[in-house]
Amino acid sequence: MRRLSWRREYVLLGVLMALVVLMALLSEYFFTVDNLLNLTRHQAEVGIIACGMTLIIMTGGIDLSVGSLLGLCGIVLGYSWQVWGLGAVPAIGLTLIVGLAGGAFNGALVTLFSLPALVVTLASMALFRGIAFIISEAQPVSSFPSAFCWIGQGAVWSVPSQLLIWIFLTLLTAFVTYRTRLGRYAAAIGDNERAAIFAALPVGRVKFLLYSASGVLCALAALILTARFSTAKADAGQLFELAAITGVVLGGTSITGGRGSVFGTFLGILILGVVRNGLSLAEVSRVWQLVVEGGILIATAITNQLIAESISRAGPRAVGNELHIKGNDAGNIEIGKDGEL
Amino acid sequence: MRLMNPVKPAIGVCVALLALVLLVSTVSCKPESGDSGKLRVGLMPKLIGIDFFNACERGAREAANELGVELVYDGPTAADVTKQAEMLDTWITRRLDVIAVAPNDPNALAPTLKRARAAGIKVLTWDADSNPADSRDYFVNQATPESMGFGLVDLMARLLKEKGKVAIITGSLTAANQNIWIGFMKQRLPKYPDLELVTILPSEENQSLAFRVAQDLLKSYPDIDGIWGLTSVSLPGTAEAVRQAGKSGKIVVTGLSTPKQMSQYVHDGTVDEFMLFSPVDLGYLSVQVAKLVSDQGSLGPTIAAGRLGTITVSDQTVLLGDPMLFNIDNVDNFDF
Repeated sequence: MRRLSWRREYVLLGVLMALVVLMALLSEYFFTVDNLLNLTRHQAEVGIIACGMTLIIMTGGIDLSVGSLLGLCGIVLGYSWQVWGLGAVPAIGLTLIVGLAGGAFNGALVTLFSLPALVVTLASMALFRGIAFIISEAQPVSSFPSAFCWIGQGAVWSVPSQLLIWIFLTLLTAFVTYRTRLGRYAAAIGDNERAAIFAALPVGRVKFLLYSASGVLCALAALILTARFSTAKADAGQLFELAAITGVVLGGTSITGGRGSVFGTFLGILILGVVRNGLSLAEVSRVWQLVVEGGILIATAITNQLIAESISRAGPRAVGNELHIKGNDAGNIEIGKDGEL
Repeated sequence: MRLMNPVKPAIGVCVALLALVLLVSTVSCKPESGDSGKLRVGLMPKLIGIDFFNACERGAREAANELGVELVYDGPTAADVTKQAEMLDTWITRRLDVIAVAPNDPNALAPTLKRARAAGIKVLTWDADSNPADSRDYFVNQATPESMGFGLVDLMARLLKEKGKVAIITGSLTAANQNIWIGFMKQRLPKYPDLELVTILPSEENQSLAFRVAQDLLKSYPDIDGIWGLTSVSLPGTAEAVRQAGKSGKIVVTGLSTPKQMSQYVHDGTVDEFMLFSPVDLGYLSVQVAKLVSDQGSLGPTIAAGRLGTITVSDQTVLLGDPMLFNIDNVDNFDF
């Protein structure tokens, strides 16, 4: 049944290709190696955040605090390095710790108090942003050494360094999602959380881990964003949460959980980048771009929905890479991978 | 029960989506005219869709028509520096001849602008500057902070006949522009020993907050003689509070704002005179400078800038000139 779940990503790949061809027709500047590689620079931070977001949404949760946590991590990096004089390595270490702590804070509230993730992360979105402004007093920190800025501005054989990091983290997330128990549990929780609890899956631990990981990814994205602009500011990463969620949903992950695609997320974020870059090059003004972005999102969502329906009609529960749990009236529970039920 | 094969509508949706993109693109897409020989200038505001920058765009289009320049005017829909960088990247890829940008952050665009310069594009900043100075060729400055700060104090002194208790209602307490102006205002105040500055209050770029702050000010300082509103929204908010308190004409209200917003208060006598540099002229001058920099490579100590006449250049900065005064005679002559 794995074959069927891949179909969704092929459709996305097809859409991406079609858009690339279209944009190449619209502007002579679009289809150059330089431009295609460069446009990923603006997508990498959101793409990295979206890796964690994919798994969280798969569990039926959401993390709205990612943009604010990115801003906070950037400020911690800038202040600990440039203002408090900690030096490069301790500053970067502290940034990662703050990211981990921020994510763990979300995870703890979601699991310990069984609060809805929407409420928890809505609150921490304000909280993290507020702390970032308090630490920095709204003053940006600039001029980082060029060796550090390489991760945001440099390239390996003209491949942007952050694209390499983004691809690596996507592969890592895909491995976790498709090849480890953590990924299968995440899908199972999103599919039916009550059943997962009855099946004695470590629901709390899985959620806690995923929110914490999301926090670390925010810290990594903060390093890249700070390096790209050689500036850390408290309002960095605003609306990144919406961009990441857009990419995840565009990629075919179900917003209600249970089903997700890491590569789909990667393609979804790329599609958004190609559309923005292509339309800008074709001199389509920013306001029209928003209209087109909205239209594409709706169209892709409809496509995804129709395909999902065709897949679910093809077999009883024919979605790949997931652990399925069924409870019956007698209280017995069966767990199995695809096709085992 | 579904009656149709879902794959067919899926394909239909894909086609519809591509058609939509194609439609919108062709509707709003102008052909690239790189080969027409016209100078192509990109002008990017901090954000699009607010009165101030709309007025700048009008001035820029006026200059572009005069000079036969092809003007690309676009910017983010919110004051967001990451979106600016992304859009600037596509302008660099399109090889515009001159890029003029009003950065949302003093430092963050430097890497992008340096890349533009390395690609042989002339780079200007306008409205706000970019650090370090080698990230751009010239900065088109609307007014020096000194001329703003001194001008505001001189105006108040004239309206109050150099005597009275005065207060400032500013934007946020961390706003860079306003804080520099306040610094120069304090430098100028000793020139008028009978003007006493009693307090400085924040209003966070929010007109209804400015209104409340001004109401409280009138209660806590009933003998106040003059109030400056330092942002385009704090001035009308302050004027509204003074008018509702029935003190129009008894308290001097002045500061910085746009004529459209202030017209009613000028007509009912709450505000006699206020200041602003002209955003239309700022846009106009930016395109004039773009053309000159592209033609000459560098600028001399003065330039001839169309209808603005002679404009001075110093330290890689082109100065629009002193802010202008608005009163009942001219307040309705402007559409910003």
